Amino acid sequence: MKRWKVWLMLVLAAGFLGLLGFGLTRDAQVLPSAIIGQEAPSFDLETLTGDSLSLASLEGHVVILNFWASWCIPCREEHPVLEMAAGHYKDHDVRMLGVVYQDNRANARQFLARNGGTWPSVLDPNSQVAIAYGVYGVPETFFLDPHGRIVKKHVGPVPWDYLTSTVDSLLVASGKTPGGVEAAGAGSPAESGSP
Amino acid sequence: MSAPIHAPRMAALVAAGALLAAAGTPLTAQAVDTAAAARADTAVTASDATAGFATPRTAADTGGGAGLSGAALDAETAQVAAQLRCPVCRGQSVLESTATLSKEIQAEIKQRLASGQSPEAVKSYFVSRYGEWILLKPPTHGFSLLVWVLPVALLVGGLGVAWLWIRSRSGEADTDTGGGPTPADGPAGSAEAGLSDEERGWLDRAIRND
Repeated sequence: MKRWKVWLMLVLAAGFLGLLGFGLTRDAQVLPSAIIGQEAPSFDLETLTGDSLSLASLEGHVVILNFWASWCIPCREEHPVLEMAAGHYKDHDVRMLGVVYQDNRANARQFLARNGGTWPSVLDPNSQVAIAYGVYGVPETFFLDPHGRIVKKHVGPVPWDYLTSTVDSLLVASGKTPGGVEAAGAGSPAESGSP
Repeated sequence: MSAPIHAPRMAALVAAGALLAAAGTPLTAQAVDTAAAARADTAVTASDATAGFATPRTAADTGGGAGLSGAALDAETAQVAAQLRCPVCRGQSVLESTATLSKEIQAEIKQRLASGQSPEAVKSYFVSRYGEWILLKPPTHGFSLLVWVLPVALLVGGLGVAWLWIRSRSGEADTDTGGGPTPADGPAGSAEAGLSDEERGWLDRAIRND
């Protein structure tokens, strides 16, 4: 066997293995998101209680934007984490907002009455906001910095550790007090740094 | 002489090249073809489906404006929908899919076209939200270009290797390759093949006597 043939075969085999390795180590469920780092698409929608709520009104706060539906089983799984987060960040510059996806007001209200949750949720008729955020399905959770920029997105029930580490890093980055620390606690960065 | 033995191997080599090329062909291209075929059949039903989704913002635009209307709008909507991937089912186009989100995306397409946006602008809106993934046909630039170029490159490369291989085989069979005998293809072939009758007789005798 000539030397160049041996090399050719080695190169081909290495190429194949490389391609296989690349394909097999990727999670096929993870889909690309085009809007990380971009400004969050604005909206002004009706809440479940009939008020109007715009995303712009939450500027200056870290926002946890959660797309959910009453028919979505993983959302039921996720709900306790969101409730814990609501308590955990009660005294911080964090706002939680639900967007009801492909569902109606009655079902969504019933879900919240049964499972708890006091943060507002808005209705998204025709899923225009969901499409604007590039939502594939529910639950999906977007994390917005105080300037209204999308910093992270989580597909599927958001784990507690993921949520707190993301929100805390956003709070710290914007000079605010992270969760678990008394907002008025001594020695913590003053809240005067907020934009 | 050695040709009959090696012909299957050569065929296998070419086949492997073709297989590689086939494997590399963007699957999505087939999806686009089927989508295009389906378009003709489903164009009417698609417009029926989207008609149900009267979107609040379009109510004003549909009367008249810069955009399309009527049958032309339906046809253009179907045209764009056939090129977008259903985010839920993933293997189907937005036009073929019966998923709620696909129908909502169709309504969004229709509304944007009706308000005067070009089909390209509508597509790039969805790309800006979902990424290039949303396009059934991968774009012919950047990293995605690889999907188009690789199959052709592999096929040409495979044929090239096969041709080199055939040439080197036939070169060995006929005469020496020119630059004098190389140690690599030296003794084995010529020693066995180049026996004269006298030599063969001598060899036979030697074997028998032993």
